[in-house]
Amino acid sequence: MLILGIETSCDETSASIVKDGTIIVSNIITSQDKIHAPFGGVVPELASREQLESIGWVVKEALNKANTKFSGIDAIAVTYGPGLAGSLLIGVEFAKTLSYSLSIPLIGINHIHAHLYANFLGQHNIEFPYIGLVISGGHTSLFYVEDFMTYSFLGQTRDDACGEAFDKGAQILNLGYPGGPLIDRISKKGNLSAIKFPRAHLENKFDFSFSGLKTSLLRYVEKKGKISKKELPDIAASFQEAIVDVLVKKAILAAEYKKTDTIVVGGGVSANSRIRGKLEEEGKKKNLKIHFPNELKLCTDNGAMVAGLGYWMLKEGKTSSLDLDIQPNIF
Amino acid sequence: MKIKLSSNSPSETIKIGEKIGRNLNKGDIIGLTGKLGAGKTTIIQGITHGLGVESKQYVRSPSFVLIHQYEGRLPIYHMDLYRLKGKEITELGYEEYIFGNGVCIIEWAEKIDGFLRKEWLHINLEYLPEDNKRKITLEGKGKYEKVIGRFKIRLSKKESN
Repeated sequence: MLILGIETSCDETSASIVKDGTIIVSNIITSQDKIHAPFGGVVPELASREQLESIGWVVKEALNKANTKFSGIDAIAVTYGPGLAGSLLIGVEFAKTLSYSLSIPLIGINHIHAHLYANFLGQHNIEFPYIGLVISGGHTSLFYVEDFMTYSFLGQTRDDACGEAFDKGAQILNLGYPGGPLIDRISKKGNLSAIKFPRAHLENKFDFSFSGLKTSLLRYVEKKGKISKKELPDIAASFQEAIVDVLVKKAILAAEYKKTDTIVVGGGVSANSRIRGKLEEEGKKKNLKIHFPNELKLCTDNGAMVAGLGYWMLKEGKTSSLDLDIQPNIF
Repeated sequence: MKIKLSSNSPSETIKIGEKIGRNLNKGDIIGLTGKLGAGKTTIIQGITHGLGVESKQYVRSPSFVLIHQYEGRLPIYHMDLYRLKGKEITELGYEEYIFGNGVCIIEWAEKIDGFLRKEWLHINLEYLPEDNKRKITLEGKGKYEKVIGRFKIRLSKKESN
Protein backbone atom coordinates (compact mmCIF):
# COMPACT_ATOMS: atom_id res chain seq x y z
CA MET A 1 0.00 0.00 0.00
CA LEU A 2 1.40 3.40 -1.01
CA ILE A 3 0.70 6.48 1.12
CA LEU A 4 1.56 10.03 0.08
CA GLY A 5 2.64 12.09 3.08
CA ILE A 6 2.63 15.90 3.04
CA GLU A 7 4.37 18.04 5.67
CA THR A 8 4.25 21.86 5.62
CA SER A 9 4.04 22.79 9.29
CA CYS A 10 6.94 25.22 9.46
CA ASP A 11 9.69 26.09 7.03
CA GLU A 12 10.02 22.84 5.10
CA THR A 13 7.84 21.68 2.23
CA SER A 14 8.05 17.93 2.05
CA ALA A 15 6.26 15.11 0.25
CA SER A 16 7.03 11.44 0.49
CA ILE A 17 5.75 8.09 -0.69
CA VAL A 18 5.98 5.33 1.91
CA LYS A 19 5.13 1.68 1.26
CA ASP A 20 3.32 -0.31 3.96
CA GLY A 21 4.20 2.21 6.63
CA THR A 22 7.92 1.45 6.81
CA ILE A 23 9.64 1.52 3.42
CA ILE A 24 10.53 4.99 2.14
CA VAL A 25 10.08 4.99 -1.63
CA SER A 26 10.71 8.73 -1.99
CA ASN A 27 11.17 11.63 0.45
CA ILE A 28 11.52 15.11 -1.05
CA ILE A 29 12.33 18.05 1.27
CA THR A 30 12.91 21.58 0.06
CA SER A 31 15.05 23.02 2.74
CA GLN A 32 14.22 26.67 2.74
CA ASP A 33 17.28 27.64 4.73
CA LYS A 34 18.72 29.53 1.79
CA ILE A 35 15.61 31.62 1.36
CA HIS A 36 15.44 32.38 5.07
CA ALA A 37 19.09 33.05 5.69
CA PRO A 38 18.87 36.87 5.26
CA PHE A 39 16.29 36.93 8.08
CA GLY A 40 18.21 34.52 10.28
CA GLY A 41 15.33 32.10 10.56
CA VAL A 42 11.78 31.24 9.64
CA VAL A 43 9.57 33.99 8.29
CA PRO A 44 5.93 32.91 8.44
CA GLU A 45 4.46 34.66 5.45
CA LEU A 46 7.52 33.94 3.36
CA ALA A 47 7.42 30.33 4.49
CA SER A 48 3.83 29.91 3.37
CA ARG A 49 4.38 31.83 0.13
CA GLU A 50 7.38 29.67 -0.61
CA GLN A 51 5.40 26.58 0.26
CA LEU A 52 2.62 27.57 -2.11
CA GLU A 53 5.20 27.74 -4.88
CA SER A 54 6.93 24.50 -3.87
CA ILE A 55 4.10 22.15 -2.93
CA GLY A 56 3.11 21.28 -6.53
CA TRP A 57 6.54 20.27 -7.75
CA VAL A 58 7.56 18.67 -4.46
CA VAL A 59 4.57 16.30 -4.63
CA LYS A 60 5.23 15.67 -8.34
CA GLU A 61 8.88 14.95 -7.61
CA ALA A 62 7.89 12.52 -4.85
CA LEU A 63 5.69 10.65 -7.35
CA ASN A 64 8.41 10.69 -10.03
CA LYS A 65 11.10 9.39 -7.69
CA ALA A 66 8.71 6.62 -6.66
CA ASN A 67 8.01 5.78 -10.32
CA THR A 68 4.31 6.17 -9.75
CA LYS A 69 1.41 8.48 -10.59
CA PHE A 70 -1.48 9.92 -8.61
CA SER A 71 -3.49 6.86 -9.65
CA GLY A 72 -0.99 4.62 -7.85
CA ILE A 73 -1.53 6.26 -4.44
CA ASP A 74 -3.87 4.59 -1.94
CA ALA A 75 -4.28 7.43 0.59
CA ILE A 76 -2.98 10.88 1.54
CA ALA A 77 -1.66 11.76 4.99
CA VAL A 78 -1.05 15.40 5.93
CA THR A 79 0.17 17.33 8.99
CA TYR A 80 -2.68 19.45 10.43
CA GLY A 81 -0.82 20.80 13.50
CA PRO A 82 0.95 22.08 15.45
CA GLY A 83 2.75 24.71 13.37
CA LEU A 84 2.37 28.01 11.56
CA ALA A 85 -1.22 28.53 10.46
CA GLY A 86 -0.42 29.84 6.97
CA SER A 87 2.03 27.04 6.26
CA LEU A 88 -0.21 24.28 7.62
CA LEU A 89 -3.12 25.51 5.48
CA ILE A 90 -1.21 25.00 2.27
CA GLY A 91 -0.49 21.35 2.98
CA VAL A 92 -3.95 20.60 4.32
CA GLU A 93 -5.83 22.28 1.47
CA PHE A 94 -3.58 20.63 -1.11
CA ALA A 95 -4.15 17.22 0.48
CA LYS A 96 -7.92 17.73 0.73
CA THR A 97 -8.13 18.71 -2.92
CA LEU A 98 -6.16 15.62 -3.96
CA SER A 99 -8.21 13.36 -1.72
CA TYR A 100 -11.45 14.68 -3.20
CA SER A 101 -10.38 14.57 -6.83
CA LEU A 102 -8.74 11.12 -6.56
CA SER A 103 -11.47 9.71 -4.27
CA ILE A 104 -8.93 8.28 -1.83
CA PRO A 105 -8.83 8.53 1.99
CA LEU A 106 -7.43 11.58 3.77
CA ILE A 107 -5.61 11.18 7.10
CA GLY A 108 -4.82 14.16 9.36
CA ILE A 109 -1.56 13.69 11.26
CA ASN A 110 -0.22 15.32 14.43
CA HIS A 111 3.28 16.59 13.65
CA ILE A 112 4.67 15.70 17.10
CA HIS A 113 3.46 12.10 16.89
CA ALA A 114 4.94 11.88 13.41
CA HIS A 115 8.36 12.92 14.76
CA LEU A 116 8.32 9.87 17.04
CA TYR A 117 7.13 7.69 14.17
CA ALA A 118 10.25 8.67 12.20
CA ASN A 119 12.01 5.98 14.27
CA PHE A 120 9.89 3.22 12.75
CA LEU A 121 11.03 4.02 9.22
CA GLY A 122 13.57 1.35 8.35
CA GLN A 123 13.60 -0.06 11.92
CA HIS A 124 11.43 -2.97 12.97
CA ASN A 125 12.54 -3.71 16.49
CA ILE A 126 10.75 -1.04 18.54
CA GLU A 127 8.26 -2.32 21.07
CA PHE A 128 5.32 -0.57 22.71
CA PRO A 129 4.84 0.94 25.17
CA TYR A 130 7.67 3.43 25.01
CA ILE A 131 8.66 6.87 26.32
CA GLY A 132 8.69 9.39 23.47
CA LEU A 133 10.94 12.45 23.70
CA VAL A 134 10.37 15.10 21.03
CA ILE A 135 13.11 17.72 20.90
CA SER A 136 13.31 20.52 18.35
CA GLY A 137 13.37 24.29 17.89
CA GLY A 138 9.72 24.59 18.83
CA HIS A 139 9.13 21.58 21.10
CA THR A 140 10.51 19.73 24.11
CA SER A 141 7.92 17.16 25.19
CA LEU A 142 7.70 13.77 26.89
CA PHE A 143 4.99 11.21 26.11
CA TYR A 144 4.03 7.72 27.16
CA VAL A 145 3.11 5.93 23.95
CA GLU A 146 1.06 2.73 24.02
CA ASP A 147 0.51 2.27 20.30
CA PHE A 148 0.56 4.36 17.11
CA MET A 149 -2.69 6.00 18.16
CA THR A 150 -2.37 6.43 21.94
CA TYR A 151 -0.15 9.14 23.41
CA SER A 152 -0.29 10.25 27.06
CA PHE A 153 1.33 13.59 27.68
CA LEU A 154 3.85 13.63 30.55
CA GLY A 155 5.49 17.04 30.38
CA GLN A 156 6.96 19.77 28.24
CA THR A 157 9.04 22.94 28.39
CA ARG A 158 7.63 25.79 30.42
CA ASP A 159 9.55 28.45 28.48
CA ASP A 160 12.15 27.86 25.74
CA ALA A 161 12.36 24.68 23.67
CA CYS A 162 15.75 22.93 23.80
CA GLY A 163 16.44 23.67 20.11
CA GLU A 164 15.76 27.32 20.84
CA ALA A 165 18.24 27.17 23.73
CA PHE A 166 20.88 25.87 21.30
CA ASP A 167 20.00 28.62 18.86
CA LYS A 168 20.11 31.44 21.41
CA GLY A 169 23.21 30.01 23.07
CA ALA A 170 24.96 30.08 19.68
CA GLN A 171 23.88 33.68 19.23
CA ILE A 172 25.25 34.65 22.65
CA LEU A 173 28.54 32.93 21.73
CA ASN A 174 28.53 34.57 18.29
CA LEU A 175 28.65 31.22 16.52
CA GLY A 176 26.00 31.95 13.87
CA TYR A 177 22.95 30.12 12.53
CA PRO A 178 21.78 27.35 12.72
CA GLY A 179 22.97 27.17 16.31
CA GLY A 180 22.41 23.47 17.08
CA PRO A 181 24.89 21.90 14.64
CA LEU A 182 27.46 24.67 15.32
CA ILE A 183 27.42 24.11 19.09
CA ASP A 184 27.54 20.34 18.55
CA ARG A 185 30.63 20.67 16.34
CA ILE A 186 32.61 23.09 18.51
CA SER A 187 31.70 21.19 21.71
CA LYS A 188 33.57 18.10 20.50
CA LYS A 189 36.81 19.99 21.19
CA GLY A 190 35.72 21.23 24.61
CA ASN A 191 35.57 20.07 28.22
CA LEU A 192 31.91 19.49 29.05
CA SER A 193 32.42 19.92 32.78
CA ALA A 194 34.53 23.10 32.56
CA ILE A 195 31.69 25.36 33.69
CA LYS A 196 28.79 24.32 35.90
CA PHE A 197 25.71 25.76 34.21
CA PRO A 198 22.38 25.33 36.06
CA ARG A 199 19.86 22.50 35.54
CA ALA A 200 16.26 23.44 36.28
CA HIS A 201 14.27 21.40 38.81
CA LEU A 202 10.51 21.82 38.51
CA GLU A 203 7.39 20.74 40.39
CA ASN A 204 6.26 18.52 37.52
CA LYS A 205 9.32 16.30 37.27
CA PHE A 206 8.70 15.77 33.55
CA ASP A 207 8.62 19.46 32.67
CA PHE A 208 11.61 21.32 31.29
CA SER A 209 12.91 24.88 31.51
CA PHE A 210 15.83 26.29 29.52
CA SER A 211 15.27 30.01 29.95
CA GLY A 212 17.38 30.24 33.12
CA LEU A 213 20.23 28.40 31.43
CA LYS A 214 20.22 30.94 28.60
CA THR A 215 20.41 33.82 31.11
CA SER A 216 23.17 32.04 32.99
CA LEU A 217 25.26 31.71 29.81
CA LEU A 218 24.64 35.37 29.07
CA ARG A 219 25.80 36.40 32.55
CA TYR A 220 28.88 34.22 32.23
CA VAL A 221 29.83 35.72 28.88
CA GLU A 222 29.20 39.27 30.13
CA LYS A 223 31.32 38.78 33.22
CA LYS A 224 34.15 37.34 31.14
CA GLY A 225 34.08 40.26 28.73
CA LYS A 226 36.02 38.74 25.89
CA ILE A 227 35.90 35.01 25.18
CA SER A 228 39.17 33.58 23.88
CA LYS A 229 39.21 31.08 21.04
CA LYS A 230 40.73 28.57 23.40
CA GLU A 231 37.92 28.90 25.93
CA LEU A 232 35.01 28.88 23.49
CA PRO A 233 34.80 25.07 23.03
CA ASP A 234 34.70 24.60 26.83
CA ILE A 235 31.83 27.07 27.24
CA ALA A 236 29.89 25.56 24.33
CA ALA A 237 30.44 22.00 25.58
CA SER A 238 29.40 22.88 29.15
CA PHE A 239 26.31 24.71 27.88
CA GLN A 240 25.37 21.80 25.62
CA GLU A 241 25.91 19.38 28.49
CA ALA A 242 23.47 21.33 30.69
CA ILE A 243 20.76 20.84 28.04
CA VAL A 244 21.61 17.21 27.24
CA ASP A 245 21.93 16.23 30.90
CA VAL A 246 18.36 17.30 31.69
CA LEU A 247 16.90 15.67 28.56
CA VAL A 248 18.64 12.37 29.30
CA LYS A 249 17.79 12.33 33.03
CA LYS A 250 14.10 13.10 32.51
CA ALA A 251 13.66 10.61 29.67
CA ILE A 252 15.16 7.86 31.85
CA LEU A 253 13.11 8.99 34.86
CA ALA A 254 9.96 8.78 32.72
CA ALA A 255 10.88 5.25 31.58
CA GLU A 256 11.37 4.16 35.20
CA TYR A 257 8.16 5.87 36.31
CA LYS A 258 6.11 4.20 33.57
CA LYS A 259 8.00 0.91 33.94
CA THR A 260 8.93 0.64 30.30
CA ASP A 261 12.34 -0.25 28.88
CA THR A 262 12.20 1.69 25.63
CA ILE A 263 12.90 5.35 24.83
CA VAL A 264 12.24 6.80 21.38
CA VAL A 265 13.60 10.24 20.43
CA GLY A 266 12.49 12.45 17.54
CA GLY A 267 12.78 16.02 16.24
CA GLY A 268 15.67 18.12 14.93
CA VAL A 269 17.71 18.05 18.16
CA SER A 270 17.78 14.23 18.01
CA ALA A 271 20.51 14.75 15.39
CA ASN A 272 22.78 16.15 18.12
CA SER A 273 25.72 13.79 18.66
CA ARG A 274 26.01 14.37 22.42
CA ILE A 275 22.36 13.58 23.17
CA ARG A 276 22.75 10.41 21.12
CA GLY A 277 25.95 9.42 22.89
CA LYS A 278 24.85 10.22 26.42
CA LEU A 279 21.37 8.69 26.20
CA GLU A 280 22.83 5.48 24.74
CA GLU A 281 25.46 5.38 27.49
CA GLU A 282 23.12 6.13 30.40
CA GLY A 283 20.37 3.95 28.95
CA LYS A 284 22.76 1.00 28.73
CA LYS A 285 23.43 1.22 32.47
CA LYS A 286 19.68 0.84 33.09
CA ASN A 287 19.11 -1.83 30.44
CA LEU A 288 17.00 0.52 28.35
CA LYS A 289 16.58 0.29 24.59
CA ILE A 290 17.19 3.68 23.02
CA HIS A 291 16.05 4.62 19.52
CA PHE A 292 16.91 7.58 17.34
CA PRO A 293 15.85 8.13 13.70
CA ASN A 294 18.11 6.24 11.30
CA GLU A 295 19.21 9.28 9.36
CA LEU A 296 19.44 13.04 9.79
CA LYS A 297 16.76 13.60 7.15
CA LEU A 298 14.29 11.80 9.42
CA CYS A 299 15.12 13.93 12.49
CA THR A 300 14.03 17.20 10.93
CA ASP A 301 10.61 17.82 9.36
CA ASN A 302 9.82 15.39 6.54
CA GLY A 303 6.87 13.86 4.71
CA ALA A 304 7.96 10.24 5.23
CA MET A 305 7.15 10.27 8.95
CA VAL A 306 3.70 11.64 8.08
CA ALA A 307 3.04 9.01 5.40
CA GLY A 308 4.32 6.22 7.66
CA LEU A 309 2.09 7.09 10.60
CA GLY A 310 -0.77 7.61 8.14
CA TYR A 311 -0.55 3.94 7.13
CA TRP A 312 -1.27 2.72 10.67
CA MET A 313 -4.03 5.26 11.21
CA LEU A 314 -5.67 4.14 7.97
CA LYS A 315 -5.45 0.51 9.09
CA GLU A 316 -7.32 1.49 12.25
CA GLY A 317 -9.91 3.38 10.22
CA LYS A 318 -8.77 6.75 11.64
CA THR A 319 -9.33 8.76 8.48
CA SER A 320 -10.34 12.43 8.30
CA SER A 321 -13.24 14.02 6.49
CA LEU A 322 -12.85 16.81 3.94
CA ASP A 323 -13.58 19.38 6.63
CA LEU A 324 -10.25 18.58 8.32
CA ASP A 325 -9.07 21.87 9.80
CA ILE A 326 -5.61 23.02 10.82
CA GLN A 327 -4.79 23.11 14.57
CA PRO A 328 -1.74 25.36 14.98
CA ASN A 329 -1.67 24.99 18.79
CA ILE A 330 -2.25 21.32 19.57
CA PHE A 331 0.47 19.26 21.21
CA MET B 1 4.27 59.04 30.12
CA LYS B 2 6.48 56.46 31.74
CA ILE B 3 6.31 54.21 34.79
CA LYS B 4 9.51 52.78 36.19
CA LEU B 5 9.33 49.63 38.27
CA SER B 6 11.84 47.21 39.65
CA SER B 7 11.61 43.49 40.18
CA ASN B 8 13.78 41.30 42.40
CA SER B 9 12.74 37.93 41.02
CA PRO B 10 10.89 36.18 38.18
CA SER B 11 7.84 35.80 40.44
CA GLU B 12 7.77 39.56 41.07
CA THR B 13 8.03 40.15 37.32
CA ILE B 14 5.09 37.79 36.81
CA LYS B 15 3.06 39.75 39.40
CA ILE B 16 3.71 43.02 37.58
CA GLY B 17 2.64 41.29 34.36
CA GLU B 18 -0.59 40.11 35.98
CA LYS B 19 -1.49 43.69 36.94
CA ILE B 20 -0.88 44.83 33.38
CA GLY B 21 -2.89 41.92 31.98
CA ARG B 22 -5.91 42.73 34.13
CA ASN B 23 -6.02 46.23 32.65
CA LEU B 24 -5.90 45.30 28.97
CA ASN B 25 -8.73 45.63 26.47
CA LYS B 26 -9.68 44.28 23.07
CA GLY B 27 -7.33 45.49 20.35
CA ASP B 28 -4.49 46.44 22.69
CA ILE B 29 -0.95 46.10 21.42
CA ILE B 30 1.90 45.49 23.82
CA GLY B 31 5.44 45.60 22.55
CA LEU B 32 8.34 44.27 24.58
CA THR B 33 11.97 45.21 24.22
CA GLY B 34 15.05 44.08 26.10
CA LYS B 35 18.03 41.82 25.57
CA LEU B 36 18.05 38.02 25.56
CA GLY B 37 17.31 36.83 29.07
CA ALA B 38 15.88 40.16 30.25
CA GLY B 39 12.57 38.53 31.21
CA LYS B 40 10.27 39.26 28.26
CA THR B 41 8.67 35.82 28.20
CA THR B 42 8.44 35.88 32.02
CA ILE B 43 6.44 39.12 32.17
CA ILE B 44 4.23 37.81 29.36
CA GLN B 45 3.45 34.77 31.50
CA GLY B 46 2.08 37.26 34.04
CA ILE B 47 0.22 39.32 31.45
CA THR B 48 -1.58 36.26 30.09
CA HIS B 49 -2.55 35.14 33.61
CA GLY B 50 -3.90 38.64 34.19
CA LEU B 51 -5.92 38.20 31.01
CA GLY B 52 -7.47 35.03 32.41
CA VAL B 53 -5.29 32.31 30.89
CA GLU B 54 -5.07 29.51 33.45
CA SER B 55 -1.70 29.15 35.08
CA LYS B 56 -1.55 25.46 34.15
CA GLN B 57 -1.41 26.56 30.51
CA TYR B 58 2.26 27.16 29.79
CA VAL B 59 3.09 30.38 28.05
CA ARG B 60 6.24 29.43 26.20
CA SER B 61 8.68 31.33 24.05
CA PRO B 62 7.52 31.45 20.41
CA SER B 63 10.97 32.37 19.08
CA PHE B 64 11.04 29.40 16.76
CA VAL B 65 7.40 29.04 15.77
CA LEU B 66 6.83 32.83 15.83
CA ILE B 67 3.26 32.91 17.10
CA HIS B 68 1.47 31.25 20.00
CA GLN B 69 -2.21 31.86 20.57
CA TYR B 70 -4.00 31.59 23.92
CA GLU B 71 -7.59 32.00 25.02
CA GLY B 72 -8.12 34.20 28.05
CA ARG B 73 -11.02 36.58 28.48
CA LEU B 74 -9.79 37.80 25.08
CA PRO B 75 -7.84 35.97 22.37
CA ILE B 76 -4.12 36.56 22.94
CA TYR B 77 -1.55 36.53 20.14
CA HIS B 78 1.96 36.10 21.50
CA MET B 79 4.50 36.88 18.79
CA ASP B 80 8.25 36.85 18.72
CA LEU B 81 10.31 38.68 16.11
CA TYR B 82 13.64 37.41 17.45
CA ARG B 83 14.58 35.67 14.22
CA LEU B 84 13.46 38.41 11.89
CA LYS B 85 15.62 41.15 10.44
CA GLY B 86 15.28 44.10 8.11
CA LYS B 87 12.40 46.14 6.81
CA GLU B 88 10.94 43.07 5.08
CA ILE B 89 9.13 42.46 8.37
CA THR B 90 6.63 45.13 7.38
CA GLU B 91 5.70 43.04 4.33
CA LEU B 92 4.67 40.14 6.52
CA GLY B 93 1.08 39.27 7.31
CA TYR B 94 0.93 40.51 10.90
CA GLU B 95 -1.93 42.93 10.28
CA GLU B 96 -4.62 40.35 10.85
CA TYR B 97 -3.32 39.81 14.38
CA ILE B 98 -2.30 43.36 15.22
CA PHE B 99 -5.54 44.89 14.03
CA GLY B 100 -7.68 41.95 15.11
CA ASN B 101 -10.03 41.30 18.02
CA GLY B 102 -7.57 40.16 20.62
CA VAL B 103 -4.61 41.39 22.56
CA CYS B 104 -1.35 41.33 20.68
CA ILE B 105 1.88 40.87 22.62
CA ILE B 106 5.07 41.23 20.61
CA GLU B 107 8.58 40.33 21.76
CA TRP B 108 11.46 42.24 20.10
CA ALA B 109 8.96 44.95 19.16
CA GLU B 110 11.71 47.43 18.30
CA LYS B 111 11.90 45.62 14.99
CA ILE B 112 8.43 46.80 13.94
CA ASP B 113 8.25 50.12 15.77
CA GLY B 114 7.36 51.99 12.57
CA PHE B 115 4.80 49.44 11.55
CA LEU B 116 2.95 49.81 14.85
CA ARG B 117 2.23 53.43 13.88
CA LYS B 118 3.74 54.60 17.13
CA GLU B 119 0.70 53.42 19.07
CA TRP B 120 1.55 50.74 21.55
CA LEU B 121 2.19 50.02 25.14
CA HIS B 122 5.91 49.67 25.40
CA ILE B 123 7.46 47.47 28.10
CA ASN B 124 11.23 47.56 28.31
CA LEU B 125 13.14 45.14 30.51
CA GLU B 126 16.74 45.53 31.58
CA TYR B 127 18.75 43.30 33.81
CA LEU B 128 20.80 44.84 36.56
CA PRO B 129 24.14 43.56 37.86
CA GLU B 130 22.44 41.71 40.75
CA ASP B 131 21.47 38.29 39.40
CA ASN B 132 17.69 38.35 39.48
CA LYS B 133 17.04 42.09 39.47
CA ARG B 134 15.26 43.71 36.55
CA LYS B 135 14.31 47.29 35.70
CA ILE B 136 10.91 47.43 34.02
CA THR B 137 9.78 50.56 32.21
CA LEU B 138 6.23 51.00 30.92
CA GLU B 139 5.64 53.69 28.34
CA GLY B 140 2.38 54.52 26.61
CA LYS B 141 2.74 55.66 23.03
CA GLY B 142 -0.08 57.42 21.16
CA LYS B 143 -3.46 56.57 22.65
CA TYR B 144 -1.71 54.44 25.26
CA GLU B 145 -0.59 57.59 27.07
CA LYS B 146 -4.00 57.50 28.77
CA VAL B 147 -3.76 53.78 29.47
CA ILE B 148 -0.46 54.36 31.21
CA GLY B 149 -2.06 57.10 33.28
CA ARG B 150 -4.63 54.57 34.52
CA PHE B 151 -1.93 51.99 35.20
CA LYS B 152 0.01 54.51 37.20
CA ILE B 153 -2.91 55.05 39.53
CA ARG B 154 -3.76 51.35 39.80
CA LEU B 155 -0.21 50.15 40.21
CA SER B 156 0.52 52.67 42.94
CA LYS B 157 -2.73 51.74 44.72
CA LYS B 158 -1.90 48.04 44.56
CA GLU B 159 1.63 48.63 45.72
CA SER B 160 0.66 50.76 48.68
CA ASN B 161 -1.80 48.09 49.86
